[in-house]
Amino acid sequence: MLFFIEQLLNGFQLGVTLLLMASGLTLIFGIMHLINLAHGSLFMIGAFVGATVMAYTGSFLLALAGGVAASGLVGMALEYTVLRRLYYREHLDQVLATFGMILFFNELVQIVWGRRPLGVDTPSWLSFTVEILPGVAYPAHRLAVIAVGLLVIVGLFFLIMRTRVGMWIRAGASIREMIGALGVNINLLYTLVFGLGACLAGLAGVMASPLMSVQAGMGENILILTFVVIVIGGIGSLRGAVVGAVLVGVADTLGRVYFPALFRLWADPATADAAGASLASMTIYLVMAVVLAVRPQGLFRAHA
Amino acid sequence: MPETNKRATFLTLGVLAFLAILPPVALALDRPYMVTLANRMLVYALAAVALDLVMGYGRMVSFGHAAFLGLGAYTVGILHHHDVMMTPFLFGWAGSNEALLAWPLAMLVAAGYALLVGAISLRTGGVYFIMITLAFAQMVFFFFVSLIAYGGRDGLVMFSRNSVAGTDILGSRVVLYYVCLGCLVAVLAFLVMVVRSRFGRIIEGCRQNEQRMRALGYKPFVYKLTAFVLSGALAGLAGALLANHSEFVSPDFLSWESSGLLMVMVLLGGLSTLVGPIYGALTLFALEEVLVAYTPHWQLVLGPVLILAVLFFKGGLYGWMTGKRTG
Amino acid sequence: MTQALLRAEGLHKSYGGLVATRHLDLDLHAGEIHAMIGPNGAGKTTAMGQLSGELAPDAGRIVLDGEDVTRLSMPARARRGIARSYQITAVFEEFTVRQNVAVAVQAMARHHFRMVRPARRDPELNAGAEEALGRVGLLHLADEVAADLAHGQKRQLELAMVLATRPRVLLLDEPMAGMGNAEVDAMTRLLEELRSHYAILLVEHDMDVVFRVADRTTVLVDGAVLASGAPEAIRSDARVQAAYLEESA
Repeated sequence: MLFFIEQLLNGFQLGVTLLLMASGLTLIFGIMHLINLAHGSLFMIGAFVGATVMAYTGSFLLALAGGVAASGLVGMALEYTVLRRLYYREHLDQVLATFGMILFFNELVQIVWGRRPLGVDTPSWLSFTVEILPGVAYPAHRLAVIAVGLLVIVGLFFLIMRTRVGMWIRAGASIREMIGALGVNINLLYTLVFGLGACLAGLAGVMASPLMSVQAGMGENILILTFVVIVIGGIGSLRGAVVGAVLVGVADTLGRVYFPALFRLWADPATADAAGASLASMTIYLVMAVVLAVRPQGLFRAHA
Repeated sequence: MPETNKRATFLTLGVLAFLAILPPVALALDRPYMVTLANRMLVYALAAVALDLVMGYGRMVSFGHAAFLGLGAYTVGILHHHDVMMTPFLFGWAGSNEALLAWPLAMLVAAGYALLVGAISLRTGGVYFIMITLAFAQMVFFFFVSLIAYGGRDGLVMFSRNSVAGTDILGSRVVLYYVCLGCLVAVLAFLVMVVRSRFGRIIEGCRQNEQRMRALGYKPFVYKLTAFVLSGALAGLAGALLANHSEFVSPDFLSWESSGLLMVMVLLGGLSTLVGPIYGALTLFALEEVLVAYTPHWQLVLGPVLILAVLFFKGGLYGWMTGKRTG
Repeated sequence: MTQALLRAEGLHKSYGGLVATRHLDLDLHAGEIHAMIGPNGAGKTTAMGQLSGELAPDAGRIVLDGEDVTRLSMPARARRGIARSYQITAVFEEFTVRQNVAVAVQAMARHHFRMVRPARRDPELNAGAEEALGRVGLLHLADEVAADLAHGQKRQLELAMVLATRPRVLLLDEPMAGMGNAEVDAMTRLLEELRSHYAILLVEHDMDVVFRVADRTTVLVDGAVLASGAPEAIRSDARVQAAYLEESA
């Protein structure tokens, strides 16, 4: 039971990472109608830059700042040079151009950082455990990821729903021309919104980096999981993203733990572990298939 | 609809003639690896042509077509494996190495999965469809990775190519090449007919204005699903050929990068042209071949090329060569 | 009076707190033009949508020739003879004029899964398309791409597509919107010709047209029927004048 709670928390923590990714993607899609596959690359850039800063300075906070800034800047540069030309093009064009960016960045990080995965140490001031329930000790770093992620999401909700900037953003989603007439620089606004989404991806990347190996292609694994989150939750719905992220995070984590155990009942351990792990990777897609079979628009689609 | 102007016909015949004389020329020049390379290109071109049916004509942006390719390849590979190992496969059946049986089965398996994926994903559209097809392809990827009995992550080696009516004519690299070319030409001719037919018109009508189609009395879902399944089956055929070409099947065939590259071939060659994807496949493989000579990081170049192509090269190679903008 | 070909009873549709149609009753007979007028936002297009099957009513039912079609989808209703045109022209922009109408002909001709013979040289489709184009006077433009047509011509094309499905009921949502005087005149004459063959529900803003062609007129305000009857009676109805005619004058 204690083990189960621990795994459940691990699932939440993956869920928070996915939620950060999903909210950035949803923000960009909702406002600029852009489907950005390179969001995974921004996640990866955050992780790599964060890992490098961490290695040189030993400071996780500096790593966080560096990773987020790098992703934000790269994101804004991509928006300024390429992506803003694609806002009014079909999704197919957006997919192919951002697919090109994935290929580019995956090669680039291999050239800069090499092919060997980087490991990132847990920051020393977070390398202790917290007894969250009697008898359940949980690493502080993982708790911090959950906490920071949730804080950021709450902040994002607040920004979109309660502030003047958020009002502009929500208005820009529907009536671009009126904003232009009111004198808000819409192009700058779009660049900043994109930058915000990129920063969220970078933040997710740095925070997840001690828990996964930092290597080329890491972004796409997360990106595809994020798509599943969005599909399950319903496109354009932040509430759906929260539910989807938790569902995917928990299903994936529990599947990884319990499928191999299940398989060991009739296969030898090595085979069971390998087959179980892969089948666990399939769990979330099966969850997605079931959700879509029942609700083709996802659990909480914002608008038809 | 593919235009029947003279220049386009000339170009189509030109590229097919080039592919037809390639093996003797390559062998005469003592470059047999050119045949291998071109064969691989043919197989991917076939899958890309099939993808163009749904992506170009129906604007169903499938980011998971490599799954159908991979399912076709694995069908051939697994049947071969049991046949060689003489182990029972299903219901005591020990598999088969016969192309005339395995290839139609490969198409059937791919079509079956396309039916499942299409039935779920075509109830939505646009960006949703992209994500769902990608996710379902990823599911098949992990499925084959988990099949330890068939090599898991490492894939499955085939000890020979398929037999055809009991003969091993595919043992010859050149014969296999012409079989692949024949399949490509047949599929191309078939799909050109399809897009010009009543059925093809419905597919194009659904792309342009689905609401109008419904108001006229059509149920778009049925026709889109049919096109999707047809496309999946043809990609499955490409997979069967790929297994024979590589004499090896691997989860890499179904990776999301493969799906992406199939889309790239269609776009580079020319969307909604059917012939274009062949040019696209040719170009992509040629580009890889040239760039890899200079750097292992050839995708560092491909990425920006792709971005520029999307921004400034809308009609693709086919559109550029025929002086037409299609799609 | 004969039995209505299409009858709506108590159609109710609301979006959140906003009621679009309020327990609306409406009937439509073969051989008549029934005009539906009302200020913007009165629920005319929403009513059309419920009749054609694009929108599902919250309550009420729709009967076509004795058959309850309330739960049928738009394609199913189209195949039973309900055809509609849209306020914002809906044609296939990339097809030629002939192809546009041929798709409509094909909708009733079937053989949708015929994958070999080229549709372009299909005599059945082309003959049907040309007949419908002849009726709306667009035959001379048959080989133009629809996107290149003028606005009024696109509206004519859409009407040709509607006719080509051999419908019994025509739901026409502002077929004259955005047309010039000569085009309005031609379309009006066309509607008068069509009257005897179909049951036509016409949403129209141009009052001259309404009073010229309509056999009956229904005035919609805030989603409910304010008045219904012969055009002359409507014209002199004090409530209608107060609610609608004066506002638009």
